[in-house]
Amino acid sequence: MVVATRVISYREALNEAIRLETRRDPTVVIMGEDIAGGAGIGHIESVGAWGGVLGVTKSLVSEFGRQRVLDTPISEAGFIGAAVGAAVTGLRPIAELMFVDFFGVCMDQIFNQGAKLRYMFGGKAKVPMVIRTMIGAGFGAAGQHSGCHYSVFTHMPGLKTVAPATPYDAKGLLIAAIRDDDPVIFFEHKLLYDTTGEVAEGEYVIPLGKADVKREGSAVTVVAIARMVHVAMEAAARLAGEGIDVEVIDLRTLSPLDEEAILESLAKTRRLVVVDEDNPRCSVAADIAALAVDQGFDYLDAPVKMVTAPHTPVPFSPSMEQFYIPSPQRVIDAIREVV
Amino acid sequence: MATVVVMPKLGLTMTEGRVGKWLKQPGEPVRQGEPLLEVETEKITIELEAPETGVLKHVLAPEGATLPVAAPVAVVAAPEEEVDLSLLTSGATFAAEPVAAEATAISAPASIPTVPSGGAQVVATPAARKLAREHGIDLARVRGTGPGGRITYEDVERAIADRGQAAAFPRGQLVTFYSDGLRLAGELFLPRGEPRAARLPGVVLCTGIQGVKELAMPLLAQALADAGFAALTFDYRGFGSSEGARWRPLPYEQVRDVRAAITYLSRHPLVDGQRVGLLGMSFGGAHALVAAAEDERARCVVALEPVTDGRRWLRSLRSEWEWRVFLEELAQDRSARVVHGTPRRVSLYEIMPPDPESRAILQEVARQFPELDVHPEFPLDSAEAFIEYHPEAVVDRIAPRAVLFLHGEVDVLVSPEESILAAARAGEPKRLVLLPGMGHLNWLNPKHPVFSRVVAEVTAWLEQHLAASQPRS
Amino acid sequence: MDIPKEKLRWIYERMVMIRRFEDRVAQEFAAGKLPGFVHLYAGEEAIAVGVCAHLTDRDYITSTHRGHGHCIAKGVDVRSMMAELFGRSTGACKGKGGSMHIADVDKGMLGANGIVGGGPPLACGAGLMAKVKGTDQVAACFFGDGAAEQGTTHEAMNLAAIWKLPVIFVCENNLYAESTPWTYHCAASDIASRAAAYDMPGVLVDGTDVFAVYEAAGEAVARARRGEGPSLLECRGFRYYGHFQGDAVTYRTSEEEEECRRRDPIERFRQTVLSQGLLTEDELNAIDESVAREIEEAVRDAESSPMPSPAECLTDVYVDYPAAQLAFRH
Repeated sequence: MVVATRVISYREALNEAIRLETRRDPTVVIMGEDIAGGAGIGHIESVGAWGGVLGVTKSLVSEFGRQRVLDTPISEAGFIGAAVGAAVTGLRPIAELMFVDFFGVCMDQIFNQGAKLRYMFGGKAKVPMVIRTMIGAGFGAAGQHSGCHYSVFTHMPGLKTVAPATPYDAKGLLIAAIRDDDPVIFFEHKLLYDTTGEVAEGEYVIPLGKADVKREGSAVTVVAIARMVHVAMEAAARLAGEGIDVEVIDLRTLSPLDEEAILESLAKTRRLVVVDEDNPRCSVAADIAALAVDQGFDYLDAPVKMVTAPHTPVPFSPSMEQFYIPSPQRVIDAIREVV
Repeated sequence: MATVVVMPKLGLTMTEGRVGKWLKQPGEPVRQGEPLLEVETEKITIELEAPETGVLKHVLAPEGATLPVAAPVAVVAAPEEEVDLSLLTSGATFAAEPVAAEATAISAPASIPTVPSGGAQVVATPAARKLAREHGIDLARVRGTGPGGRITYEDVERAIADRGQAAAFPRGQLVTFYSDGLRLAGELFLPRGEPRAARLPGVVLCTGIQGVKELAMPLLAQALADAGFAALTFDYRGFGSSEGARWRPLPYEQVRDVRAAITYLSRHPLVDGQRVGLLGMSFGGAHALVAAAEDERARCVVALEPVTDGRRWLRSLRSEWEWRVFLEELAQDRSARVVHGTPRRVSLYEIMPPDPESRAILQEVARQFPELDVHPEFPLDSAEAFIEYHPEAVVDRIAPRAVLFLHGEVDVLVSPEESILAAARAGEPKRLVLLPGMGHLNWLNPKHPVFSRVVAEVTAWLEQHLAASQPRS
Repeated sequence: MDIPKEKLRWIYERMVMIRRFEDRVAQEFAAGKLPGFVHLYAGEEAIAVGVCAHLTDRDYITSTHRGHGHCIAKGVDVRSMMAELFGRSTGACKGKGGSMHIADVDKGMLGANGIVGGGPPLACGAGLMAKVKGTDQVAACFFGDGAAEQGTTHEAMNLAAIWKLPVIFVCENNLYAESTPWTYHCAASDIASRAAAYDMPGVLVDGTDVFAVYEAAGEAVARARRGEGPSLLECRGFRYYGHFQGDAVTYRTSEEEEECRRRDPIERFRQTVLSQGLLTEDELNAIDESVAREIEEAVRDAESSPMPSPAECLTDVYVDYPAAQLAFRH
């Protein structure tokens, strides 16, 4: 079957995923701060003002109306909790937590309610909801609007966590997340919104829990997350000139983790570098390093290296912010230490 | 004379082995080379062969017993021979009149000091360790090329490939003997099949400066065994699997090892102690000449490309200024070690700068035999001892025992001048063969036409001068 | 007030069921048969029952750490509840939730909740579902006077108000948040008046009088079903036991103790129906007996039910997830 594709942005791909699913499934509702914008103001009531602070949900209100595209008060605990309650009782809410850094004000609803209800109820409930949230440094947004923090959610049983790197993956993974019967936290890197790529028309699903080999290689496995996939790809391209053949694995889903893909690649290359923009302590990077030394110990032919942010909040000034974010050069340096 | 069969040492790190299945029962006649029992280690199971033809007199260890290396497991002797078990030694044989100093109580082997390890704990990656485990590779003998000398997967792969090649080399029977109280590892090559004579002529082979018996020696030893000789190779003290201060080749100590080897071989039940010769190659050629000069038990000598004057030899590898710098370094180290006690160690190549062809061959050997420590670093006090080593000055003491010199005509690592000048000084009978167009190492390959010529020359010389009718002078 | 006789019987039966259940749980807990700890609802029966009398299985409630009464009022099977408290595999949550998480989504019971203030946003969600789907379902949100001070409660009331969600916020003011009196922790003279801030009706009710609760809740539920949005009821009453079992209740005066016995909701109900001839003594006694039997059977069942297999720990986390990643790493 020939599937038509065209080049669209990561933002457009996400918008398309939400639109298709909202169209397909009447139980899907979208909620969040300013996701349409301008609620109750006559001249924009039907079209919205912003379509999300960075425009991901633009124009959805025009098609689906205010009944299903719900602007919320700045009241994360209230509306994230409402999304949980709605999910348990039969809707499929897509809630937007504008910046992941805001999880502090609504974490109880996410992890004590959303994540645990099914288990505490002995499996007699399901919580099919998605929380979309923006991650990542690089905007000069400083300490409370630039974190990644997906490790916090990945740590929690009951939640699934997804962090796409490309427009194609963003669309397929978001559709999968919306259709999934478990709560999914969907991390969108703000620096990726304007990146573009080939995206198929229509619905398609990328299963959760499946990593993607973005570049095949034999010398070293680089496992990367979200925007770090692109950083890893650049490092790989630069090292290719020197004959160092880097394999880049895009995790795509952090929980569940595609352990098989990581171990399979490690068995091939025997070397592992993990690139993660999150802080290093108790991180996904550390988790993967632990996986490698536990399950993949006998594959290892070099120490496992973690290229991560430092153990600091994200700084404001660009000079420091660029220092903070893992760069291709740091990935290259780490690779050189192991090959 | 009875022979004690001992638990063999099958690898550097092996300290004990398990007695597997006995393939012969006590009282059963055995032929030399016939499997006696199975010996198991963590890594491999081998069949231990009967060291001589006779009867399996005593089984000293039951199946399943774990014994230290060198512990006696059986005694093979002539059918009517009476064996006094209280006189068992951990060596290989004992005579009716044991030499007191060599006799050891049966329980002694366990207390034999183990080989001092060459350095710190082996650093190897998990992948390398697993691969080594699966293939029975001893990591202590693998050269690491990773950061800080870490052994990587590729290093073990190489070791496996090399072992495959190494396995293609003939192997003899592992034996041990003592020199100055240090246990040396030897390998005895014996003629296959029925013995041609009651007692065999024996040859001690002296390996070169890299000190381990596996280099070049097995080819020559097997050729000699095929020609009817009992050929013994061994690791000098501190090299390979032998005990002793690691990698400190002092010539006169190595000569003492050669002489211990002569003693061991002379006393072997299959060997006619009156017909033992020496064959040495390169730096081992020097030792063969010096040992023979001092020890009349060496009935004749073959010196292949020998060093005969250490000063002349090392000088020939340098320009004038390089030589002066080298001497200055030795002088400095001499002063320093008098104060600090420890000599500086340098690469063999700094002491003996090889020509490109030799270097390439040596590097290839190093690649093939990483587990043999073929390129150790030597202390500068040993380099100083090389300079002071002067076999040429004593070759005239060998006569009337025969000496054969063979040398590549274009050998630029050890100049043919070394053989020519020494041969000139040696008494009769002597013979000097220069190999046209040959360098130091390039003919050392069984497929090389010159190799078989060398074997023919050597064999003929030894047969002539170790002939059974040869009267003792 | 015109309450059908069947409803009256139901109200009495549920209130007695709650009381007997909690008294029995207190006994079993004291006997060391129950793991963990329990917060008992005895004394507040009129509130849960008065509200739930207006709800069907299709309506939802959210609850609190003191949730047994809400469960029983919402029709959750007492056998499965008792088995859950005993940690048995036959429990409402298969032994995974315990006292603070008893739930039965099919009965519209969205779980007791160990987090004070955890429930109100969930109730909004259930209300949102009804609104989006266009049904007449409603969600009742029980919360204590302690939770009245949580941000989530205020966020939820605001959200329900701006979206006109069919939610009934029921504040069970039992006078103490743990050991802290509501007069200390609440800046307002009553909690019901906070409804004004969210432009919704706020009613202060005697929580020991099931008829009063029934009446106030009836109006709030009807308003919710009409799509007119949320209401707030503040039902004042007493809990007979401490905050949790083991609480010596040193903070309550003997006058207060006396008052709460005097205003016992079950006794008040009996007096009312008997004095008005709505139900007979025999009818009430028959209910008492059948409830006693049911509780007895529930305990016997629970005690004879198997403990969950330890490996059951690894199930029910997700609808779909690789099992190996849920298990121990080694």
